[in-house]
Amino acid sequence: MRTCILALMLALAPRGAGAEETALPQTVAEAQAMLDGLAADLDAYRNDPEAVAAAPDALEQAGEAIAQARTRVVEVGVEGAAPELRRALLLRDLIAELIEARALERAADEIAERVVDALERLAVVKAAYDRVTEQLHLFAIPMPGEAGR
Amino acid sequence: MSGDLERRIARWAAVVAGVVLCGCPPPPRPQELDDLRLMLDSQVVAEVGPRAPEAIAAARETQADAEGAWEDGELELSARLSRLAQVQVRLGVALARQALAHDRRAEAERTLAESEAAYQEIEARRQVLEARLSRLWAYRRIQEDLARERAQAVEEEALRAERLGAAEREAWERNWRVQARADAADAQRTLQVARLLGVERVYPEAARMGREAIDTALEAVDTSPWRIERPLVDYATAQADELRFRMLSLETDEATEAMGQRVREMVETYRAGFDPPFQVSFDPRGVVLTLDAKAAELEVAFPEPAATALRDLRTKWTADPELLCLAVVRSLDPDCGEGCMERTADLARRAAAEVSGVPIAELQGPEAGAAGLEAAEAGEETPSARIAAVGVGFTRDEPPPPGLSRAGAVRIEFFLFPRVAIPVSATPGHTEGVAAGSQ
Repeated sequence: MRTCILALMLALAPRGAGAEETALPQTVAEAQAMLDGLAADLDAYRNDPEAVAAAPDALEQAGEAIAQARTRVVEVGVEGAAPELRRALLLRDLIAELIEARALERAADEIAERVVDALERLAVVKAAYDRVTEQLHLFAIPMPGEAGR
Repeated sequence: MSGDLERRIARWAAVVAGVVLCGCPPPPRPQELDDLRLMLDSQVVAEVGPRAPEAIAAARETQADAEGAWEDGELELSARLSRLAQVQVRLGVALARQALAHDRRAEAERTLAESEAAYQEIEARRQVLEARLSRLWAYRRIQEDLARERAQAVEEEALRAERLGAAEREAWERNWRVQARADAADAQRTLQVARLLGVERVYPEAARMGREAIDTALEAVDTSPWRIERPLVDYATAQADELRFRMLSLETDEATEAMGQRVREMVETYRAGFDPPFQVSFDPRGVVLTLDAKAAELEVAFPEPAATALRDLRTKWTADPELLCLAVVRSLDPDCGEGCMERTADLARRAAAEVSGVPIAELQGPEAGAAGLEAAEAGEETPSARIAAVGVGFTRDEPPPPGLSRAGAVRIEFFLFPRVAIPVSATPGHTEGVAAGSQ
């Protein structure tokens, strides 16, 4: 009974921010179709170097989670396999979010590198500006006949 | 919350009661549950929690369920829920990483934009200064050639003087000094013109050096041994000329010629209305309105028709805020004697006050109060920032003015010239805040 209540709670519980709610399947056939879809997504991710670089652990765990969910669905039905189904779905979402996180971090890094370059350029032009300012303001007018010395 | 606590206590009481009744130990906690607790208690989760509160809250709810399942003795369910919660935690961390990266990127983009804007601004100003410096160098090269030729001529003149007889030599030396004094006074006038144009604001250090050079030259023409004062006077003249050139060439190469052209046009205008009683003439520094008078008379009141002409001039000057004025008074009396400089300075201030309406105490000039000068340095638009007065004493023996004896005679000259626009980029220190904000 408790397992059923938990499964229901998990099915109804809101997911993490940023991830869209995916309803759990109601039947074994739906569950298997969902798991087939997840497996296909996973295959696609495995062939994506970005995904492999961003989420190697999650890819491995997602494969295991899908296999566990398949077994559990067959053994105890959809309700009894709710945690596994939920976990498989979440791992798929996690892979997507890890890819996104990595891309955002790389983009931020690229901008940060440009900031470093820009600040260096700014320092250079500021130094040049200070030099010409100093020449313009501080250098002495030579005594007549002394300018060329 | 209290109900939840009560349920937990009841559950624990049941576990303890079961343990006591059965005499068996509580079930071992699943490793996944302990791992989950470590994850949720970690520093990482504490730091990312605020950026992904919903995901972390969901994980904690699942953790509570997993704890409940363990307390109910459902170890397998507890482990399964713990594994699920672990993924929820990782999802929360991933979302927090995204939020962090997003914030970092936004901050970096802001810094980049500020930095690039500062770069553009400083680079534009640097180019302006480079152009200004280039004009200054070109000016100096020309001046240097002239100075070299002049130094050579002076040297030849001095060698010639050494071959003169004693009487001739004495006269020659006297003339030499008179010329030096006149040149030093002229440099002083040019310096005052440059100051009115705002050189103190734009080139404060160069202006300070210019003032020192003028002071040194003025002192040298009366005290230095013969020939020693000449380089000092030439130096002061070069300083004053360059200061004026610096102000005229702030923005373009042709500003000096343009100023000359404007002054020529002014000469035509002023000749029509002010000549006589003034003698209106052209000087590269400005249109000059000259008036000869007796000092004693001026100390009481300006005589007619000069007084009326001065009132007209005041009206004209007041109506044109772009017009600057330097009042110069020099003595035409060789017996002006001690205190001549002070007397001419006092008369210059009177003349300036007459033409501007500015109280004498607020007028600027080397000997006047500092109020007007401070106003000019601050770039104020007050009348006192547009007029200055300088007395140069007796500089050279000249033919007496028509209808006027030399005794107590003075020559008043009003130099009128338009102001120059001073761009913000010309004032020192104007970029100090530009780069500071983006570094």
